[in-house]
Amino acid sequence: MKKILPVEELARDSRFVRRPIEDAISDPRQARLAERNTGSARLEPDRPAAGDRARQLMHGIFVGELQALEGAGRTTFDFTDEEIPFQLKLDMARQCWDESRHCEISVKLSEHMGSEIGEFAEATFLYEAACAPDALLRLTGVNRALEGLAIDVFNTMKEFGEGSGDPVLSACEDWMLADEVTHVKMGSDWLRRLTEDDPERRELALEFQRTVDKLFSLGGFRGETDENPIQLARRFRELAGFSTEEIDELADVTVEAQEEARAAVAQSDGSSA
Amino acid sequence: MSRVRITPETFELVEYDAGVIAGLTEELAARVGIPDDAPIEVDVDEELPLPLTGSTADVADGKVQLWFSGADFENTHNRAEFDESLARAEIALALFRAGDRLAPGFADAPADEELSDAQRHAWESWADGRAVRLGEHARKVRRQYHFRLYNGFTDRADAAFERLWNAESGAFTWAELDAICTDCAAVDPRPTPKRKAAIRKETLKAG
Repeated sequence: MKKILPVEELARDSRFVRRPIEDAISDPRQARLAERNTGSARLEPDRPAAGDRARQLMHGIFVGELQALEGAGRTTFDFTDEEIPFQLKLDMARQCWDESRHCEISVKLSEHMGSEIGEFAEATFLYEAACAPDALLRLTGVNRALEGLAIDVFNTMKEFGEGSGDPVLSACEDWMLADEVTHVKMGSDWLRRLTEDDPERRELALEFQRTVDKLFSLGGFRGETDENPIQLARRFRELAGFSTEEIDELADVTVEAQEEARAAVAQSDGSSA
Repeated sequence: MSRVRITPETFELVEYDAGVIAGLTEELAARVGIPDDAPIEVDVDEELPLPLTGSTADVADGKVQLWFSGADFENTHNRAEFDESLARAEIALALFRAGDRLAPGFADAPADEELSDAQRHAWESWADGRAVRLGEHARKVRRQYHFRLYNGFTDRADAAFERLWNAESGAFTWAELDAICTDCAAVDPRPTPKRKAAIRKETLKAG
């Protein structure tokens, strides 16, 4: 079996359609939309088009879970026992079990919300971030950055379920959120153990995490204001082993990402005018 | 000369064709039962992408006035591409609602932008069920999810949804439709919403 499976070879049936993230960034409507008052972007039941926004996000969660399963699965296989501790592989195998369950829950939730598998296009940059050749980078890029994002997303969806009085959505998201906290904690613990005597390597791995965090805060997707659909879940991040300083740093990264997106939109608007 | 007028005449940001939309509207208006002498104005806001869906259906002086977010007609896989199946279902739904407004029992219905989210989604559920029976593609579960979001995740709301979904044109007056929402609200444990969620023209002016 092939090691380090390229994203193009992920198994998908005909229901799935992939689209690059660049399609969204280069869409000329983004610049026009930025000039209009569409209200708060925060995902809440009384915000514009809340139902369809929640459905689309739920589908994004589903494909994210699928790619998280594929990423954790690759880590159990891509490295020998000499390259990474066997106990780390066991943790990744346990994560696969969780992610499989999350895939099934996400499919059921999508059906509950009236969506179909493959209804929306799939972006694969989550899996791409999960394919770093160094296992340590996977721990920071996937377990701490991407699973950290999952904490923020699930908490936002849990609150959306509570706000809309949807007992199915809020209960399911709460259960998945508990798993995600564990996944992030595994990443934090293994990062500390594997770099105990190598602070330089730890810093390089954390730098990769910052890059992934910024990528996934693209365009203000995540943050702490009404302009951000996904809210930073500080309390759950603390439970997952993030220090206050790390959470503050992430908050700064999200602001930076939002400013860069604004500048890009302004530039694209200027060049198309 | 066609009784259907589309705005804009030429789309610049999305790959939509005003002629195609006019043709669909003309065909569906006849099948829905909009009187032949009623002019129809269709305004499509091409700046709004998925998932910012939303529409309004009003009647003024016998003229049908429909407004759609561009997202309503957008292909969910390919950005800015027209999806005829989606567009047909959305136009049919809006025409059914406009047709309701032409009936005497809806003379006292508020303008679309004045509707509460609960009222809007009850009305859309009724119209969507009729569109499906007309042969258009719409998903009942999706509509029910939207209905539940604003009328409650309760057994009473689910029963009301079934009643609306299965009803034919003329089954309700505005007062009866409103009463269904009031009945759902009576057992909905959530606080009354302070804001309206539906995308509306008034909230989308240049800021």
